[in-house]
Formats: sequence, structure tokens, C-alpha cells
Amino acid sequence: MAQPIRTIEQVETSPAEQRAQAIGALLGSIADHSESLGTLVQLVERLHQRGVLKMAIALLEQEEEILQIVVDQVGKPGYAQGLKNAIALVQLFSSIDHKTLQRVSKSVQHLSRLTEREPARIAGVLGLWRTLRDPDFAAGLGFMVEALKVLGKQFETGSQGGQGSPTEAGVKDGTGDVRG
Amino acid sequence: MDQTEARLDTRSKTVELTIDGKPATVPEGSNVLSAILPCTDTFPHVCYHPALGPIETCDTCLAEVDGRLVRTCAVPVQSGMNVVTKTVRARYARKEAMDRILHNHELYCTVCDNNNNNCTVHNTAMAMQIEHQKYPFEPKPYEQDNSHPFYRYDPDQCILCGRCVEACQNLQVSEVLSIDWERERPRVIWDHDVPINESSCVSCGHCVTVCPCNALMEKNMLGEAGFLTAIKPKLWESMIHLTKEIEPGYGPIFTVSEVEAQMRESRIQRTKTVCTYCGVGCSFDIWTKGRKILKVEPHMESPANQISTCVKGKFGWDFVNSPERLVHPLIRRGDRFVPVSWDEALDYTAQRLTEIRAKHGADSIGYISSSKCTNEENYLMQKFARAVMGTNNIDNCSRYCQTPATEGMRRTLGLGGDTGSISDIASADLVIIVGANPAESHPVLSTRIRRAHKKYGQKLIVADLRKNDMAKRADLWLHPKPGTDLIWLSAVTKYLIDQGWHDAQFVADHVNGYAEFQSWLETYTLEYAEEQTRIPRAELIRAAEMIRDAGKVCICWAMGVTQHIAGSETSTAICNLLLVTGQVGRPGTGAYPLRGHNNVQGAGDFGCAPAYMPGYERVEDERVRSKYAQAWGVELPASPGWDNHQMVEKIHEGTLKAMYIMGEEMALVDSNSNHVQRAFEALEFIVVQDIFFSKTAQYADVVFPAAPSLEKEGTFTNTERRIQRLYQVFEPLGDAKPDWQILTELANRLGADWRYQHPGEILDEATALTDLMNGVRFNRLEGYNSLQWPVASDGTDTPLLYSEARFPFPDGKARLYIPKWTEPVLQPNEEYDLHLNNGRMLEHFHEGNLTYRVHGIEEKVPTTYLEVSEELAKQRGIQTGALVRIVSPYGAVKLRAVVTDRVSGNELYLPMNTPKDQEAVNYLTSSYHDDVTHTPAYKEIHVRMEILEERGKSPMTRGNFRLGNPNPQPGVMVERKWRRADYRPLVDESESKAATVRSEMK
Repeated sequence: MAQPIRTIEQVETSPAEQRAQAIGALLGSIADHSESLGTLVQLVERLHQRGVLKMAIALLEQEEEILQIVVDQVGKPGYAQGLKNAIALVQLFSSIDHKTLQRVSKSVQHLSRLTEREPARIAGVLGLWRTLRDPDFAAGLGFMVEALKVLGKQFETGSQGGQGSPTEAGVKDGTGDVRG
Repeated sequence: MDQTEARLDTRSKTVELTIDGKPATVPEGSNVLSAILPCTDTFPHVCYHPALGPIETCDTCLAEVDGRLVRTCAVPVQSGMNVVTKTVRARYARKEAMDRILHNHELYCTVCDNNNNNCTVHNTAMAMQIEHQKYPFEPKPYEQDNSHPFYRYDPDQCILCGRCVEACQNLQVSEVLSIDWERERPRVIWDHDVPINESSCVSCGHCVTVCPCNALMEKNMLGEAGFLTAIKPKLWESMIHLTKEIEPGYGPIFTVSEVEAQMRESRIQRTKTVCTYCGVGCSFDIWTKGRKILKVEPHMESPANQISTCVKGKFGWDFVNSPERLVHPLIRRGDRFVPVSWDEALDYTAQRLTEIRAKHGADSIGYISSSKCTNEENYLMQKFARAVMGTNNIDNCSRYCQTPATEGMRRTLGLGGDTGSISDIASADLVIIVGANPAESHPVLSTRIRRAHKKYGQKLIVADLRKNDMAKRADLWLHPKPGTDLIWLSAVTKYLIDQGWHDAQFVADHVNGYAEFQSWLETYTLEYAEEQTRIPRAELIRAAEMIRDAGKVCICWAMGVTQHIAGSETSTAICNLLLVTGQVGRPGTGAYPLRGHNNVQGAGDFGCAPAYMPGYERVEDERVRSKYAQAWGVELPASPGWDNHQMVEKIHEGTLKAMYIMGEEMALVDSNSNHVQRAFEALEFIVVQDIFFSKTAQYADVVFPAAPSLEKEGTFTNTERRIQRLYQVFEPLGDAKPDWQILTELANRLGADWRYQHPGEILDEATALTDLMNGVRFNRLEGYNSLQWPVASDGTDTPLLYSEARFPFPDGKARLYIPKWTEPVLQPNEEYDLHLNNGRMLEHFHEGNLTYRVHGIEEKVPTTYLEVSEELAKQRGIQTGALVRIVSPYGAVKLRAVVTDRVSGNELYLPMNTPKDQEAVNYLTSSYHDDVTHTPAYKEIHVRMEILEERGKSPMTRGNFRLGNPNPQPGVMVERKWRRADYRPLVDESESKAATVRSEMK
């Protein structure tokens, strides 16, 4: 014979009991991970010795404010240009084929040796003609002419806003690598 | 027609074509995009979604087909087609299309909460190696809309793809969203351009789920998903500015955002679960961070729902973290409940149950299992009652709703389950809904009917007292006198036979009992039906003609049929109609009683009924009992026990002394609550197992804190007989435990030796003992895999019952069963002059113990309300907001009224969804019941209305979708975009014209 009741006695855990439960759980966790925690303590000690921890605390306490300062500063035209250049440089190096880079590097080494000996002399127009017929010179000149043409094309397309027409730049998408 | 539907229609027919020079074979009816994607999965397609089909707004999937530049999503494959994706023209067009999209969308992925490896815009831009925007991003002149409690719209991020509009207009078919294409800067609008929360938005979440970017986002995701997204707005804007300032191209930005997205995977868990809010059985991933739920994400591989959800499934889960959860076992001591340890609670319960059994016998205790619990828990509850406690007094709440439907089907067709799948309902030519309100009670299933009706010409007949959402859309709405469905169904059946419109061959070959049935039908003339049901004769003829004209017919029904004293009989009449017309056993046909709770089907399947062991094997059968005796190692009681209705009566008679109620709010959801509660007061001992301190728990001696579905593993069986697995999302809160663990620990204190460590072991034990589900195994249900019973031992399942017209009776034939017509009880009279109908509302579940604890739902719909017709309101001089007392012979409730055209005349409607005593409908309902199944006649009740205040504040508050004004559109209406002066077509001119014609014809 039970009348309906609604009162539920609340479980009163004293602060001391809560604390004891938390400590118990923590000790259990320490025992379970003693090796990794030992290494962590060593790391913490080093960070403490170097003052890194105090610095980190200060940074975290002021996290959003500091981030705002950094973002504002970096966003200024000069810095932004620097970042753009840095990213562009990284992209440049990423885009060069390593074999080409090796070839250029070797050429530069050969060039540096030139400084150690007497510069070649070209005797008049006939001497120039003879030099032009030298296969090594002809190959080098050909490369430089091509390079100058490519450079010129870049300036030309750059002046059109950097987009390039799809026919020239190709429309890259995931479907393949054929250029138009 | 989308790809999936096309596949269904064309079965194994295929087409051969060439894609980028390579031969490909694809199903007939597919579109070219579907043929390209298996070859090149990164091929762009931003607006195309397989659940929605082609909407042609984004232009990113362009390719050359036989030399013409076309949108590949919209072009069906044809034999010999030559598809080339890599031409310059096609590439140019796709790049241009993406540039146009990015004009509308700011790429700040690393600080975007949608950057979770699944953002379509991000992934497409990256796959296309977009480095620069041709058209710089320009903000739109609109504010974010944050009015809705669950999601927000950011016009600045909206790419105007229209996926959300298509999903709302043609998949959910609530017809709320559209794009206003004629503005200078188009945007998505709700209704006729009102704030989201003031629109007719039903909060189903389709739009948010299909949004390919962060324009529509779940609010729980904002500031939570990303590592850098919770920062202050000023800093956040500065970071976006810096990113844009220094950007050398998007490549490096994408790399950083990809890394960040990957980091998110380590702290955001995605766990598959199955929804518990109705019998449709939607499955989806729940995204969580710690105990916080970030979002619900359904998938195309979700077998019942694909990407569909309703407000409860998409947004209704925060109750799991409610501070009101039960987290300690409680024992009644004097005038209060005292928290105790599990050992104390279990020991005490075992001791008390043992004492009562010793004193009064095993049958003096009743056990109520739960249609909200898993199959494994239901199996264990009946095993506990039978094997541990020695009684068949075991039942579950399906008796309150669906047992009459099961009875009707078993009599005629042989098996007690929906005869097909939701996909069959979607593909029917005609759907008949009798006494059901699926738009609110089975929301995702109703979307399939609305979509088929709107897009594919499916016909719809609704027979219901209320002009509910489906009735408003129906081609024919029948409004019978309450409780007379059997008569009109039988009259239509007779008329079909009389006209020779039935399937005589099917009846001759596959059905027994035709002659007797035909003779019984003699009474059911159209004249008799019109007189008894008040449905005009012309409407009955129209219904019969619609059945005649349909090749495939499905009938769905629910509580409007079953919760009457003749519920089993009317269910039988429905099955008879289907048999006479040969509308079973073929795709797109059949009988569909819409199961109300997530596991109504499973609770019965796994033996929680007084006369049935798992798999519907009868307890009186010696062979069955000996099988279980051998498996369980105990002798089992031979005679059927008491059902839940009988249990209440037996308490009043003094023979039932104790009850163990698992996951059921019996004090409020059984009919005639005063009668039930007085019974509880008379019990010697009650154990209640629940996740909240329910009304029923107030009567308990011991309360066990249980774990909701998100805190346990197991399986549920949906209305399609589909068994699906749920995975554990959270650890149980506090000391709460999954029900199967509580049962196991209690059983072992009562002498059992159960060693279950995981629900998988329980399922495998249970199914191996049955014929019906013999091949069901936990490991066959991994991930989104599912099985529809019957399941053979090799794991072959049965999505469609009775194919080849074989019925599980000895001669393989179905049976026409003569139903018994009984006049409804408690019809309106002088003292009680109004009829009270009752049922659900969309936003809340059951008595509301869960959904009123979800803040956003509670904000939108804070209370139940009484629906009063305009005629009655005028007659009684009341307006919306009036405070009324409703009095029946059994009790009274007091609440505020809403005047509406959803009800008519002297018929009232009261949603059952309230935890408040003064509003709960079952204080009004009676103990009359269906004679065969003892299902209460909830729907047969007369009342009178006493007016306490003629006017007052409306109980329907701002945010209730019923106050909105939908804006039906054929779809996204892309042709309005194409007509804009600033739109330049990217497809070839001939294709552009053809597409416009195609779109306008939709």
C-alpha cells in the first residue's frame, strides 16, 4: 500500500569526501601510467629550469589579447608582404624540379671556378663569330634566350591581373593533368 | 527520378558508354554524372545530391557529351554515348562555375566549424586545385538568421545551390524554403520571407544536413567543432582578414585547414545509433565532444531514412545530459526516496520478490517490458519473468497501440509485421492512410509519401477525423464517424467485388474463405455505410475507383484504427481488402501498421507477451517449452500469463501483489489513469526502472537508474521488421546502468547464472532459439547493415513478405477472416456531448519525459493544448487561449484551447504529450478495450467542456510551425536563375534551352 511520493533525499557528499574521491582517482591514474608520467616530470623540470613554463603561463593568460596584437601586426602591409614573399619562395622551391636545380647548381660551381683563372678574351668580330660556333656557348645562349622569353611572358600575364586565360594556364581540377 | 529510384525501376538493365575514352557499363536510368563518378570520384558536383536528384544550379559538373557541353547530373545515360570530361571547354566551364560559387562564399576553412573533412565546397575547391578567385567574395546585404533554437542561416556563406530548398520542397515536403532569385543578391527565404523561427519550418533538419557548406549549421556545432572557432569575433575577423591578405593562392590555406580538420577527428567522436522516437527506425551518426552532442548526421546508407530526420531525431537528444537524470538507485523509506548503493537496491529487490513469490506464488508478480529498450533487454526481461521467476505474466506497451494490427495480420496473412518496406510505400501507385497521422507520428516515413505524391503522381486517400497534414494533401479525405472504419472499408471491399474490380484470379489461387466472406459482406452496402459512417456514397465510390485504377496499393494504419474496442476487427477488414484486390506480396503493395515506438516490433518479436515466446512461438506448445527448458536449464510455466490490462484488474482483485516495470510510464500512458494509479497504490511492492523520476516511479518501492539508448549497445527492430544495431555514444551517467546489466545482476541474485558480458551474446542466444530470426547474428549487423525478418540461418533476410503469394499457413494460402462489428462505446450523449480524439504531436514523444527536457523543443512547444473546431468555438463563445476543463466519466483535465480547422464539429483533439497531471489525456480515458487483445479503447471517449476563461494567452507560442504559412514551390526553380540578366549560360545553347524546358515542366 504505497502512496505516491516525490521527495528524493539528495546525496550529500561532503567536500572532504569529494576531495578524497578525486585524490583516489588521481592516484590510480598515476599508478597506471607511472613510466610516462616519470618522463613527463623530467620534461617539466627542464622547461621549468629554462623559464619556459612561466612564459607559457603568461602567454596563455593573455592568449587572445596577444594573438590579436600578433595578427594586427602581421596584417600590416610590410609584414604581410614579407609573409607573401616567404610563402612565394617556399612555393618557388617546391615547384623546381630537383634535377634542374642540380644542373643550375653545378653551373654555378663551374662559374665560380672562372674567377680563379684569366678571363677569356674575344678577339674582334671574327673571334666573336668563332665563339658563337662553340657548341657549349650556343647551348648556354639558347637557354638564356628561352629563359628571357619565359620571364617576359610572366610580366605580360602578370599585368593582366595574374589570372591567365584558361587556355594558357589550364584549368586544374581533380580530373587530370592535361593543360589546354 | 534520382539514381536510387531509377535503379529500383530498371532492375538489372544496363547501358554501355564511353567515358574519357574508356568503356563503362552503368544501370539504365542513371544520369551521366553517376556514370562518371565511379571513374573519377573527384569530379565536381556541388549541388547534386543522390537523395535529391539533379537540381542544376551549380554548373560544376559540366562535361562534353557527344560534343555538347551539358550538366552531367541532368542527362540520362544512353547507349553509345561519348562522355569527355577533360576538354578545355569543359574545364573552363567548371572553373568558371566554381568561381561563381566562390563569389558567394568566403573561404575561411580553418576557422570554420564545418571544416570536418565533409564540406562539399571545401573538398571541391581543393580537388579542382582552385588557387585564386576570379570574382572576389562579396558579402550579401543580409544579417545572419539566428532565430531558430537549433540551426542558423548565414546568407554570406550561402552559395545558392538550392539543395536545402529541394530537400524542403521535395523530400521533406514541408514547402517552407525557397530562393528569391529576383533580388539583386538572391538568398534563401523561409515562408514568404520571415525569420526562420516564425516560419512553418518543422525543424526536420534536412536543409542543414544537405547544405554543402557552412551556410546552414547546427547551432551546437558553432564554436565547438574547430580548434580555432571559439575565439572572439574581432580576433576571428582579423584572422580571416590576415589569411586573405597574405594568401598566395588557396593551396597552402587548404593544407592548413586539412591538418586542422584531421586534428578534429581525434576529439570529435562519430557514433552510429538508431533513433528511439518512433517506429521508423532512422539511423545516423551522432557527433560528440566529451558529453556534448554537436550534431546528428544521417547518411545515404541509413537503410530506413537515408538522409532524412525529424525534429526529435535531429535535435532531440540533450535530455541524456539533463541534471534530472536518475543517477543512483533509490529505495522508498517512509515519505521519501533514499539513494542507496546498487548492492543494497538489488539485494533488497531480490529479497522482496522472493518473499512475495514464496507467499503468493509466481503468478502474483507482473513484469512490464519496454518498447523503448533493446531487443536484448526485452529478451532478458521475458527470460527473467519466465525462467527466473516462473511466470508468463510478461507484457509490453505494444498492447496499448499495435497488438490489434498484429492480430488482424496474423489472422489473414499469417505474420504480424509490415508486409514490405518503406521503399514499397514510396513506390505504390496509391497509399491509403487510415486512422494515422504519419506527418507527426512517423515523420520520416510520411516524407516518402509526400514526395511520391508531389513528384511522382502517387495518389493518396486519408481516412481520419482530423484534417491533418496528410489529409490536407490527399486526393480524397474521408471523415468517418468515430470508430466506424470497419464499415466503410468493408463497403468499399464489397463494391469492388460487385463491380468485378477485385482480383478474382489472386483470390482463387491464393486465398481461402471467399464464399463465406462474400456472404458476410452482404450487409455492407454503400447505403448502409453512408448511414453508419456519414461518409457520402460518392466518396466511397471514388475510393473504390482509385483502388481499381492503381496497380500497386499500400494501406497504412495506426492508433485511429487499433485503439477502439473493435481494433483487431478493423485491422482484419483492412487485410481482407488487400487480399480481395491482390494487393500483397508484390513490390509497392501491402499492409503497414505504423509501429509507434522504436522497438514495439522487437518487444513482441522477443517474447514480451503473455502467450508468446520469442519468435511468436506459443507458450502452451510443449515442443516450444521443452526447447527453451533445455536451452535455459529450467522448467517453464505452461499457461499464458496476464497482459498489462489484466494485471491492473488483478491488482484491484487482490491477486497481483507486485510489479516490475521497466522503461514504461504506465501511470500516465495506460488508459484510465486514476484506475491504474489506484491499483499501484494497492501493490505490496513495485520496482521501476527508468532514466527519469517518472509519475510511475512515485509509486515505486525501488527505483533503478537505467541508461538511455545513447549509453548502451544492442539492437532495435523497426516497423519494417528491420533489425538494426546501435553503438554506445556515452558512458552511463552517474551510477546508471544499461537495463540488460541491471536484469542480469538481479537475476543472478535470484539464483540464475547469467554470464552475459555484451548484448551481442544475448542477441545470438535469443535468435538462434527462434525459427523466425534464426540467422540474425550481432556480427551480421555491423555499422549500417540490417536484417529484416524472417531471417534464414544463412543470414538471408526478407524485405518483402509473401512474395510469390506464399502465405505461412499449412496450404500456403491466405485467409479471408470475418471480422465482428461492434458499436463504439462512450458515444456523445446529453451529459457528455463531445467526442475526444487524442494522439501525438510532432515535437514531443509519449508523455514528454524526454522531449520537454530538450531546451529548444520545450521553447518551441512548451505545452500540450486542446484543439477545438471553429464551429464549436463560435457556439461556445471561446477563442484560442481559452482555459477549459474537460470532464469525462473517469476524470478531468484543465488546459488552454486552440481553435483550428484541423478538427470539425463536436470533435476535440488532445495531444497526449504532457508530463503534467492536469493535462494528461488518460485521466479522461476508460477501461473499455478491444475484446481480443485488451488494447484500451483510447479513442472512444465522450466528454463535456466547461469554460473557465473565454480568452487568454495562446498555448501555441512563437516558434510553433503550425503558426507559419508554407510557400509551396515545384522545387528550386533554377530557370528563374537562368532568366536573370547577369546569368551567362555555361552549357551549349541547345542544351540551355532544353534544360529550361525540362525545369519548367517539373
